[in-house]
Amino acid sequence: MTQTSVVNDLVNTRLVRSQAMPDEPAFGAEKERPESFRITDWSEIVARIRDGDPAAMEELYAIFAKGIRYFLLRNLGSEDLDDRVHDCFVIVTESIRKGDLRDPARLMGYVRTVVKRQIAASIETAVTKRRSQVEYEESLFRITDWKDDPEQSLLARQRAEIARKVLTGISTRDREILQRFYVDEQPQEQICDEMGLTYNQFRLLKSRAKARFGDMGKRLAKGMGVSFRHAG
Amino acid sequence: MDKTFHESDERLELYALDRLSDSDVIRIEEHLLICDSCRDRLDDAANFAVPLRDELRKNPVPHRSRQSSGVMDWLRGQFQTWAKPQFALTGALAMVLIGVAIFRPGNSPLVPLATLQLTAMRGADVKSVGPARELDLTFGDAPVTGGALNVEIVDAGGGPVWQGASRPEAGGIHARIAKALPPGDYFARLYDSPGHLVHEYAFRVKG
Repeated sequence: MTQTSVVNDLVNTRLVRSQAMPDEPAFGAEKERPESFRITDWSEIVARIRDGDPAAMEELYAIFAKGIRYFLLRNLGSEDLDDRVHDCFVIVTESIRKGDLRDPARLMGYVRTVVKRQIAASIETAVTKRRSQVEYEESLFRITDWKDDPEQSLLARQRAEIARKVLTGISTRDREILQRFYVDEQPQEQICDEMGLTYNQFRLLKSRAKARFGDMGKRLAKGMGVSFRHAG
Repeated sequence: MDKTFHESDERLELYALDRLSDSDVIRIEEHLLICDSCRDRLDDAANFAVPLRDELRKNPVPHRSRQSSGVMDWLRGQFQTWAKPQFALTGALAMVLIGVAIFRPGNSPLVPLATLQLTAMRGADVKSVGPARELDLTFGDAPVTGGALNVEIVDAGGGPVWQGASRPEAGGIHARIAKALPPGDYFARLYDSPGHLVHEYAFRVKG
């Protein structure tokens, strides 16, 4: 199977995110969003990696390392995280050197595909290992040990509690609006039409709920001495 | 050098909720691989949206119908309330008492509808009409404004008595006052859609 066909086989799957990241900001922290984002000229860096330029490898690592860690951590947990990130880079750079990445503009897509393959392979390995071990050991190995992290469980419970408080503090009508959007997955145009809202009113309701969620999270964190940043 | 834009908060939230198309997911994930800012905002969006969705799922509220059928919902609710035995009995008793009050001997019942043609005039000549359960007013010389005119009825002291829309018909514009006005002097005021007073008419309900 060529690399290109691998890319095509995997484009319809998605990366799963479900866990907090190291250095995760506190609830409600304002985030600034720059207007635009300039990307690197991939053809230049790809050409340099092909030529064996170590500086280009470092640049590639600097660009993608955090993003790769982000998705690997969310999908597989922190176990062997550095090794997994390294494995992804080895695959990407080897492919570039061998000329498998014919179109440098596809570099981001290719990196994403490699990450996805690594995640899929790790999960498959874990499932197989568990199946074989379950026959003579009682659940000694669990794929999702990291999901049972006590701190993660605490954070999840706290967020659920805050969400419950936010919802009990709003009117039935506002709750229905949120329910239509978040649970029934109705498009906002339909919600605005059926509930007699303007788009701005709809956005305001959501942003107020989110702000209240953030405020309650901050108060909770302050009162309980709980940090909403992941320990890493 | 290419230039690309960050993902919007709305799209990041939809991504966190797994509600984007496959092609959008690919595009957003490729961007997330290289963008710290969007990863941070994705965490914010997910930390809010996912627990909120889960809580809403646990305790859903029943949907009201469309806004346009809200009146029907209200009426249905009222019917269900009044159909309960304790309310039905009270309602029936109230209806009997109202009937007795209206039709008891010596009590002259109001006529169903009285009509009155008004024109804007200065002077002491005030049009009058007998008491009725409803009053149909015709404003014969109402100005043509190109839009609907609103009608306000106030009593002699300027206290609001009734408000509603007028309808253009042959002979002028009309307004049906769907309430019995007690004997006294009244003013009917016409307003255009921006709310400017256009004309004022005086009339009297005889005792």
